Amino acid sequence: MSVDTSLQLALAGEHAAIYGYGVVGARLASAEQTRARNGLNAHRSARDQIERLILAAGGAPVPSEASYVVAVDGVTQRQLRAILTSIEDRLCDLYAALTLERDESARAFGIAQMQATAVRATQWRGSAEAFPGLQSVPDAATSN
Amino acid sequence: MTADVRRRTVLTGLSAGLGIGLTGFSTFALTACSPSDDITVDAADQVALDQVLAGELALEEQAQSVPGGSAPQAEAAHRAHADALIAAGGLAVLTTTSATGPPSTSIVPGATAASLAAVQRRQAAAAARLALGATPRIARLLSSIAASNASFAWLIGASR
Repeated sequence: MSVDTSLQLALAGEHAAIYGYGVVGARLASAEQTRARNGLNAHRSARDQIERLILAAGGAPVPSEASYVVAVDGVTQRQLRAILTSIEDRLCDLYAALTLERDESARAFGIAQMQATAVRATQWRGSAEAFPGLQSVPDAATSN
Repeated sequence: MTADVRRRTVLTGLSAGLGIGLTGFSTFALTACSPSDDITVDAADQVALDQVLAGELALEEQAQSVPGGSAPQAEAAHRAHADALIAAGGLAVLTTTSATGPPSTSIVPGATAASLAAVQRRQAAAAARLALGATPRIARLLSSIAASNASFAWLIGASR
């Protein structure tokens, strides 16, 4: 996978995350809206940084979709937190792909964003994981 | 540049080394278990794996001495990190401060959740820094471990 492809996938993920945080955050209890707002701002910042990386490499940033499917009708507060957890988990997987790149700026960004998304997933989940961003430990240890 | 790393013993050697307390040695290197006898590991990767492994072993012990909360989950995670690092080629090297002193990875008396979280944050930063110069597959592993440590540091800090 080229660095441009990895960055474009991460950018598409950030577009979806921004949309998802907007939809879900508005439905969260007031006590958690500050955390959701902070998460939304963090994703906007990440989106802008990825766009700069893509432009610097001569690429064209993929645009956001007009809308995304976020199933929030009739869901509980716990389920809303689970949606945000899954958004962060998915993004962490995408950023893990960036850590495979030899391009230093892309890799550094991926490493930093893996930590940021893993911490936010922990905040929404209430527990931490041993290997965020990895599909499986054996894969991480044996494949390239 | 690569370095051939030959492993001579299995995990029982690591357990035995810890069990005898490592007294009488200024330094004591333990070879780690591996599914194969010979693994070629990039020299920069070897340094990174060894350094992060030493930190994870220390964190596992420190987490043992912190009561309750998320410390047991952190202890299990640090053990899993260490196992993955060994599987990737990391070598456990335990260093004593003197002939009769304790290993540097021994339990710190009075360790608290706050001190554990602080060390986890430092370990996350170290793993992230070392990931930058590693080969891709090791970079991904170190990045994941860095992210995990940052997560546990937040969790343990938040639950104080």
